[in-house]
Amino acid sequence: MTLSAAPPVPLFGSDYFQDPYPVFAWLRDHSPVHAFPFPVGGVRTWLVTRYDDVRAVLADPRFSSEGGTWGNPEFKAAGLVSGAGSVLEKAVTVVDPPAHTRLRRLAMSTFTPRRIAQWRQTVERVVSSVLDACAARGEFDVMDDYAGPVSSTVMGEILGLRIERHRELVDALAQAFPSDAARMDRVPEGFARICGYAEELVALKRRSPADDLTSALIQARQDGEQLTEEELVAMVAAMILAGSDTVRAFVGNAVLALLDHPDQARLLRERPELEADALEELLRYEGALTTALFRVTTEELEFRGTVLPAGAPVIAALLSANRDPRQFPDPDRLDLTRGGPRHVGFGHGLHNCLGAALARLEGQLAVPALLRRFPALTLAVPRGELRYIENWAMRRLVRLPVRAAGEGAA
Amino acid sequence: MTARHVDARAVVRVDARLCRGTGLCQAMSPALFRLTRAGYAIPVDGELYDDDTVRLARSVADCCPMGAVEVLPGDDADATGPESAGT
Ligand code: HEM
Ligand code: SF4
Repeated sequence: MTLSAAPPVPLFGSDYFQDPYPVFAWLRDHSPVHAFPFPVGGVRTWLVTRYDDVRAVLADPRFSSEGGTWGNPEFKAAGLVSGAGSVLEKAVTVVDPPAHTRLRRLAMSTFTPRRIAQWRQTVERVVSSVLDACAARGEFDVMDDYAGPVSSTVMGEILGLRIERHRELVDALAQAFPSDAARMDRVPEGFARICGYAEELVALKRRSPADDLTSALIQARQDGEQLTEEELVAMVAAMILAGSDTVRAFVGNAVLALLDHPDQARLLRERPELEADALEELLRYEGALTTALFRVTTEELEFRGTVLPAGAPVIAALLSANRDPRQFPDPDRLDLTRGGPRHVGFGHGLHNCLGAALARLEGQLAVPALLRRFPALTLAVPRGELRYIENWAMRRLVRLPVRAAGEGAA
Repeated sequence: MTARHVDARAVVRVDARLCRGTGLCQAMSPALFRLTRAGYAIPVDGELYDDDTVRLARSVADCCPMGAVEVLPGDDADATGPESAGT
């Protein structure tokens, strides 16, 4: 690899956040294992952008999820260890086996077919009541008035959160995943609040168990083992953090993709049997996570001709892998009938999305339902005014204002 | 699955209709699972001969997000019951 090369616009700069795809295309061709200074602390970080390489990193145990254990001193000093100093330090997302296996088995055991069937009814009910509220508005913001309420209400109901807490949860999530880069300083408080709700929820469900996911996690048992108090709180908080704003982001991206491709939107309306394939294609085209969480090397190793020192932070660019022409012909075209190889929108390997069944359910119900309810749906602002949040891991629109009755309506 | 050996403790299978090719099984145990070129999982061998391997296969089955991995008692274990299973 030549060293002098730099991508067309700087990584993790404003232009990149608005449209990362040209940067990804350049990196895949010219610098597939790309070293750059991470914006926080200037820590030397490697970004991997090709489909095969992204899968290889995420499947290789030498790329650890435990930044707190394996990260180099600069990585730790820059505060890049996720969840450091909170219960989330030991969350399923950021531990390696054997701890990961134990947490993942216990959590996964609660995602039973019976429970998932119940969730379908919950999601359908929530979607339809939020759609009513949107219809009453006429003009609304898909992010704040549709995808946001759907994703957080579903999560709250599934976990058994008291209804008075729902509004606060939306607020705490907005703090944890700000739309405005200037409000990054309030992120830790958002995370802390969510851990607080998780703790409260676990205590409540210990006293009065009910038919919800939190109670199921409390009761989960595998080979005589159960989740400890701390693990439970971390698991519930991780579900809230990993399973609300991601769904919100994805629904927004999917709706925009369909507004941008009216022929595909028509196809989806006319052929409901395409819904499952359509969902996978929408996840490939623009899923919610631009990248996986940090991996760090457990030893010095050579990866595709690049020597990575021990403790090196590595970022796998999922949305780049999903647009890699080596894997997906004509990758920038949305084609709901595409089928074919698997996308990495839910990650790959050990840490692949634990909530994928719920995410698919929400996506598959919420996206087509909006199109069917409002067949004439159009953008309520010029396309060029749409902005994405400036977050390196999440790809989410700030706002997506739409008009239910279409162009001509007042 | 044909029983090549009579003493397999258990048999591991991947349900191709459920598998989404997440690669979790292969990452947990490349000795037991691999992904095909099309990106879906298949067992490397399928027959498991010792308790540790059976336990590992069960963990993988528990972690698979699609419930696509099945661990079934082997023919021999089935016929003679678990107590008689010596090593
Ligand atoms: C469309 C929505 C979603 C997308 C695009 C998504 C994507 C992802 C991705 C890419 C990862 C892997 C991260 C990594 O490897 O570093 C992941 C992990 C995870 N997701 Fe999701 N997710 C979604 C919805 C959900 C939902 C609804 C839940 C909750 C029930 C959830 C819970 C989790 C958890 C707990 C993990 C960590 C798994 C582990 O470490 O073993 N996600 N998700
Ligand atoms: S973990 Fe399950 S879904 Fe993933 S590749 Fe293996 S069998 Fe398929």
